Parts: sequence; C-alpha cells; structure tokens
Amino acid sequence: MKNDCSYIGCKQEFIDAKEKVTGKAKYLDDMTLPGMLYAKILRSPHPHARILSIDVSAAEALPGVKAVLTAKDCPNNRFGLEITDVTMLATDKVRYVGDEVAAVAADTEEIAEEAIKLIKVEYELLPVVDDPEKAMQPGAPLVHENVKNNIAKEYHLSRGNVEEDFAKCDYVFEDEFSTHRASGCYMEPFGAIAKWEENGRLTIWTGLQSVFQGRNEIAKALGIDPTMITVKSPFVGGGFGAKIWIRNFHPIVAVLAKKANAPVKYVLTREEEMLTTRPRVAPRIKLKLGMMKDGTLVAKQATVIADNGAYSWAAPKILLNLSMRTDCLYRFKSTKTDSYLVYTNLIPTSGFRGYGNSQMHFALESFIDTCCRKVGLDPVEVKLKNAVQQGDLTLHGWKIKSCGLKECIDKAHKYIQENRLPKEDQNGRIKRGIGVACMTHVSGNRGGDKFDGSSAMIRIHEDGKVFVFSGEADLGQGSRTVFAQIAAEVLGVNISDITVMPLDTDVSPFGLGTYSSRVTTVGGKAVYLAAQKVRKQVIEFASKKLDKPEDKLIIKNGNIVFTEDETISITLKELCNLGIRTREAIPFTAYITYDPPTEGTDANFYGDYSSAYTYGAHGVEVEVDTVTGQVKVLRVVAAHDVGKVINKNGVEGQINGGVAQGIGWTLYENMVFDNGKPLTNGLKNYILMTIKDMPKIESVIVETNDPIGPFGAKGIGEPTLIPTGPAIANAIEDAVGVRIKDLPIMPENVFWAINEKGDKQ
Amino acid sequence: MMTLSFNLNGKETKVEINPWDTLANVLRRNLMLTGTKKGCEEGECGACTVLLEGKPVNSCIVPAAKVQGKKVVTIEGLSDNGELHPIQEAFIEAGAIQCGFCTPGVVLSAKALLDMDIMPSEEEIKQELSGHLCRCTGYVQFIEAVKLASAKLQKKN
Repeated sequence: MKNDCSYIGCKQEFIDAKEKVTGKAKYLDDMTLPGMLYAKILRSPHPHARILSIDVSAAEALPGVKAVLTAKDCPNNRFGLEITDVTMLATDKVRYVGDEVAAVAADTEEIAEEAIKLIKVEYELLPVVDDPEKAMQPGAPLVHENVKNNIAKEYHLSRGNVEEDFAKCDYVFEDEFSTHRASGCYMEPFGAIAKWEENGRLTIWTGLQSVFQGRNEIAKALGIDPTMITVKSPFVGGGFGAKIWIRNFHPIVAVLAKKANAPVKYVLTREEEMLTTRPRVAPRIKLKLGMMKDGTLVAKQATVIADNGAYSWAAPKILLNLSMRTDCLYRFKSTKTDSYLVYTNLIPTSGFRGYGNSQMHFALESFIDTCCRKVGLDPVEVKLKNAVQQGDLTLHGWKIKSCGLKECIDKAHKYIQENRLPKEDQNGRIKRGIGVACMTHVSGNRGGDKFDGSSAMIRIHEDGKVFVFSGEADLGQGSRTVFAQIAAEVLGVNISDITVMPLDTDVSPFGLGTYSSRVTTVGGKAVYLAAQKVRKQVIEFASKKLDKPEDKLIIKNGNIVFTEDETISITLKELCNLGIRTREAIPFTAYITYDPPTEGTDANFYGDYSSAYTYGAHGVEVEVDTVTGQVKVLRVVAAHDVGKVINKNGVEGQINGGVAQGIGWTLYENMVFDNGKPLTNGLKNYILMTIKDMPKIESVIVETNDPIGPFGAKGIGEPTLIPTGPAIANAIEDAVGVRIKDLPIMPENVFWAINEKGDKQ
Repeated sequence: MMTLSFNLNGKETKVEINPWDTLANVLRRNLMLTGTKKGCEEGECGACTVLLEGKPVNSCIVPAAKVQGKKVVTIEGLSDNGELHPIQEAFIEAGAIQCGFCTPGVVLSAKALLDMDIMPSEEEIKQELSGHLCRCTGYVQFIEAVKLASAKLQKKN
C-alpha cells in the first residue's frame, strides 16, 4: 500500500524560512555574550615585506583595550590543509595585502579599531611577485623561502597515449584560456566568537561549512586536542565554498579570549572580506585537442599554471579537480595534464562553487565549440556524439551509474533555439547569438581512500516529535529542509513534527561538511538510513502492542496503521509514550554512519570516488552591442540531471542562484590588483549581479534516478554555475564571430576583438 | 551622548546615542533589534534596509541622529502579534528565501513598493529591489514573491 504522505519531489517551503523572514534567525553578529569584547586585526598594507619591528605599547595603553597579540603571543603552530604554510599572525614577513600582523580585543569595536591604528610596524619592502608564470622563473622572488621556484604543488596525469593519438587525428588544435579570481561575496560577513569555559574547554560560534574539519584545524593551530573545542553554528548567511575552511581569525579570537579572559567576537568588515576571503583559483590553461573529421573527440592535453596566492588552503585539491574532471565529460581515448600551483604575493586562492571544475570547463567547453566552428562541425552534435553515458567506465576510473548528459544537451539546445529574437537589431549594431555548454561534477569526493561518508541520528521523543541530527551544514541552500523531507517521508510523519537540530560538534554526528555537492546525496542518505532504522523500532514495538505482524503495519500521517483494517491503529505519540515511559525502554533513537560504496582513488588518482556524477547543459542567448562591446545575457536554459528532485523549491533556487553567479563570474566580477595591491576593496567596485541584470531563466530538470543517492537524488549546488560561462562565450562567437578566451569578458575585450576581426577582413 | 526620540515600529522610543552612531548600530546594539543586518556598512548591499517615513533607506549610512522625531519601521515591526505579514508569507511560499541574510531588507523594500502601488509591474519591482544584493537566489523568486504578495494584499483589501 502506498503511503499517502509524500514529501519527495514537492515544492516544500523551507522549514527555517519563518525565522529568516521575521528577522529572528540569529547569525553570528546577532549574538552577544555577557562581558563580550570585540576584536580587530591589523593587516599588512604591503604585498611582500619583512617585519623589522612591531610596537604595541600605545595600543596596550589605550583605555578599554584588554588584549593585544602579535605572533610571539600565539602558539607557534603551522596549520593549513595539505600544505601547512599558515601561521596565525605573521612571524617574519608579510606575503599579501591583508596578511594578519597583530590583533586587539577591546570593550568596543571603536576602541579596538583605534588601538589597531596605534600599533607601529616597521617594514622592509621586498620585491613583489604577482604573476604565477613569472614566479616560476629561476631568480624570481620567493614567497616562502623554502619553496623552490614558488611551486607549491604539481600534478602530472596521463591516461592512454596522447602523443600516439594526436598523430592519428584528422585535426589537432591548440590554444590558451584563462580565468580570474572571483570572490565568494556571501552576504553575511564571516566571523567567530570564542569563549573559554570554566572547565577549560573552548567554545567557538562560527558559520563554517565544515564544523568538524574546522574544529580540527583550530585545534591544530592552537595545539590542543580537537575535543577540547566545541564548534557551534548559528544561522549562516551563505558560503559558496568560501566558508568551508577556517581562517586565521578563528584561532586568533581564541588566543585573544584566553589572554583577555573574556569572550571575544570578531566579524570581518566587507573590505576585509574582499582582501582576505579566498577567491577562485586563477589558472592559465593551454589546451591541445585532437579530433576526427566525423567529430569524434580523441585526445586532450592540458598544461595549467595556477595562482595559489600567498598561502595554500584548498588550492592543491582544487588544482587536482581542475586537472581531471572534464576528462570524464566526453569519451576521450587519452588525456594528459601537467599542472602547477604557484605561490604569488596575492590573496590566497581556494574553493568557490565549482571547486576548480568550473575553470577547466570554461576552457574546454569554449575550445570544443570554437574548434568545431572552424572545421564546419556543429558543436552540439559533437557534444552529443561524444557525451559520456550511463554504464561507462571513464578513463579516470569513474563508474557512471546514472547520466542524463545527452538529454540535458538536447533540451538546452532545443529550448534556447525556440523563441529566439532576431539575429540583428538597430541596423546591425546589436547582434544576437546562442551558445551551449555542458558539464559534469561530483556528489561527494572520497579523496584517495579516505572516509567520504556522513552520520545521522534521529530521535523520536515521547510526544512523537522527531529530531534529526546531522553534521552537515545548511548555509541557506536548504539542507535542513531536505533532511526533514527525507525523514518525514520514511517515518510517515508530518514535516511540521520534525526539527532539524543546529550544528554543535559535541552533539551532532560526525560529518565532513558542505562541499563537493555532497550534502543531499551523502548526508541525505545517512538521514534516510537513520530514519529507516528508527522506523524499524517503531514498527517492531507497534506490532507487539497492536498484536499484528510487522509487515502489515505502516506509518501514515503520524499513525501506525494495520493495512488490512485501518481502524486498528495507534498514534506515534501514544506508542512513543508507551515505549519510553515504561520498562519496555524502547530507545526510538538511531545513529548510523554511512559511507558511499565507492572505492576511492589510487596513488595515480585513478578510481571511482564520488557517490554519483552529475550532468547538465546551459543554452544561452546573448546580445552584443558591436559599438561598445557590451554583452547582455537575454535568456538561459539550464538543464540539469539531478537524479531525483527532493525539493523543487531548493533545486530551482540553486539553478537561479548558480546561473546568476555564473553570469556574474563571466561578465562582471573581477578582483583587480596593481603590483600586488588590491584595487577591488568593496561592493562599490566589485560588481555583483543585481535583479536588473538577470535574464529570463528556464530550468529543465532531468531525473535519472541514481541507484545510490537517497530516493535517486544527486547534488545540484555547484553544477548550476559551471556551464554558464562557456555557454556565454560560445554565444558571443555565434553573435559576432569573435572568441574571447579570458575571463572576465569585459566590454573592452569584446570591443577590441570585434575591431581586430574587422581589420583582418 | 544625546537622547534620540523617534517612533520605532509604532512605539515612541527614547535611546541614548553617540552623535556618530549609525541607525543600523543603534537598532542592533542599543535596541537589540538584530533583524536589521549589516552586510557591507557602505550602503551597497541593502541588507540593513529599514523604512524611514515609509521609504527604504540603508540604515548603515543613516546617522541615527537624523531620525529624531521620525517614524522608523524595521522587520520586527512588520509581523503583527506573531502573525506574518502577507509579504512575508509570499516570500516563504515563493521560495524567495535561501540564506535569509538579505531577506529582512528585501521584504521591507517590497513593503514600501506595495504601499505605494499595490499592483506594481515587473519593471517596477526590479527597479524598487535593485538596491539589494542577494548572492543565493538569483532574484528570480523575489519577483514571484512580490507578485504573490500583491495578489494577497489585493484579496485582503
């Protein structure tokens, strides 16, 4: 019998929307603790300089100042992910504008700000290296003296034999592409409150995407055991990858709080966000592509030189994604990639929605399109001909268990062609074109043979109300709601009877966090399994109480019902009350740890490492003003294989938001530096999309029912941004016949490209 | 210090302020009304929007002393005895809320618009909300929400 309480696939209102729309939801800066102090950080104004001396005496003497820190007051531990090159405060030199030099805690923000200005630092300026290609040259200034040629990381990946395959190809093309630094620009500035408890433990409130990994990193920096720290998450105002990992300020507030013996709050200003929030890794990508006359894609070779910035965060991992993932978009016979991550005196780069994958998609999806046009092939037909399919084992060892790539390409192409505007307007000044680009991404990432799972706990109280605990973070994307839907569906209860608990590393089950578009697929599956486990306890106990066989009982609208005679039933509330408040002592609690059935990768990065692979394609119509070079996106058709929709509201929200970020990344957003000095220091000069810039978006949802994800679901968070950029570049070529190979696509680039083409003709 | 007297969410309110305090800081720090968010403190993002004499302003760049004797409405003043305002209901129903940080400001701008014109065109909605930055939603559902709110308010009248 079908359970008539169905939450899967519906348009579910977010369960926390009421708190948000009334302004009652508490974000970090909305919290105040008794006796709390306010911190400010002194940051380097120079991209590269030696610190000769720091004098904090005037700051310390200012009334209201409770603690002043320099590196000598901090535990001398290096931290960071794969490469531990970060210290809390600068020790000997500063390596980028924004590098942390000293910190103050005071009674008010104003006093802390005043104290920061009183700290005197004497610098000896050092030569600046602001370009990764120059930084690799022998004799270039070294950002970290122990790292030769500034090369932080390199990868050399090879599958098949590209040299042999290129020799057999009808066409071999070569070109270069680049993408730039773009800032996360979540609306809620990042920050933390630290408080040392009476029992010697440390509590940190902060809106991290990964609370457990954050806790462990803070512990590494402070040199204490991770379980001495509790990380609690208030509401989080967006993250997009830039709040996955901790920042220097996390351990800094802890040390300030210790020294001042009071809780300390620190919130970044928007200028500090722009100076220090890890932007997208910026690569220069050389591509070589071999194909046959019939459009068969044979071989791909890439050389990547990417900017790491001054310190390493997730950039090594991002470079790996960048180097590999697009190889599995088509059925290439061979691929080879040599990539280098290079230190510079610029802002450290790290993760932002797409995590490296978006950068290489821009290059490859642009390149295939322009190559096809050169030899008179239809790019869409070439994509369809070569698209990876369900059942494929890709050359990196991915097992494709569900794949809607062809359907996405087909639909994006079909719908963008419908209702097109005329190709020209204003006597040819305005030209319009369409472009299509596609994508693949992951839903989870094992990263070698490590754990890629998630844990969940579900507890039903004596009144039948359900509490869901997960270690995965909701940054606004709606995972609390997805978890509640999954639990409601499995347990047959009303979603209003479900509470999804806030994150607290002492209470929440272990979770890796919100990245790799893994939360619905992996975290959701954990909730699904925990709900099944607790459901079993309910059914077993109900069978005893109703004296009916377990397989004839279902839970429906909060009642346990005998399927052969629905008048025989018991409410979940009654049953839980009977089970909990008696010697029956039924726990009605389940804790499970789930790890997806992927084997991970070997030392050569070969192997199936994601629970599911996601696919999508965007069709874009643009118009180009040939006089000014201005590009306007008119329409976007965004087709995405989501496996199965859990929350239609959430999926559409991700698509609309991802497309907006995709257009912004491609056309407007740009972090500009002049000899290492950032020129974009706020929202007045770092240009985000507004409501007026939005084109019409048609979302096309393709369901392929993944065999592993919960109810067949796969991730949708990152995929929605990935194909927008190359689809825009392809549409520009369709409109005006020029190929823009570097992001962002500024009017002047388009203008000069059009002029140059005119000169040649 | 100086005493600021103004009408806040329908109530006469007195508060001691510094002459340099911004309205956003007085609301958040002195009056503990944290529904008004600070996203940039440079008047760019719109998260701190409140209604001053019915018109949306960025409270992070309004000197608090300027609202002496005036009427200010914050998000806390919108729902009546715990009942959601129809605009708030519409934002929830249309799926226009993700992280929620920009939401209070956007809802207040939508209110100013709908108070002025209960049936705004799509262009008017875009014009009126163009001072708000939202990084999550792509704004598409904002437009749906304001249209839905317009329908709800017309039904109510």
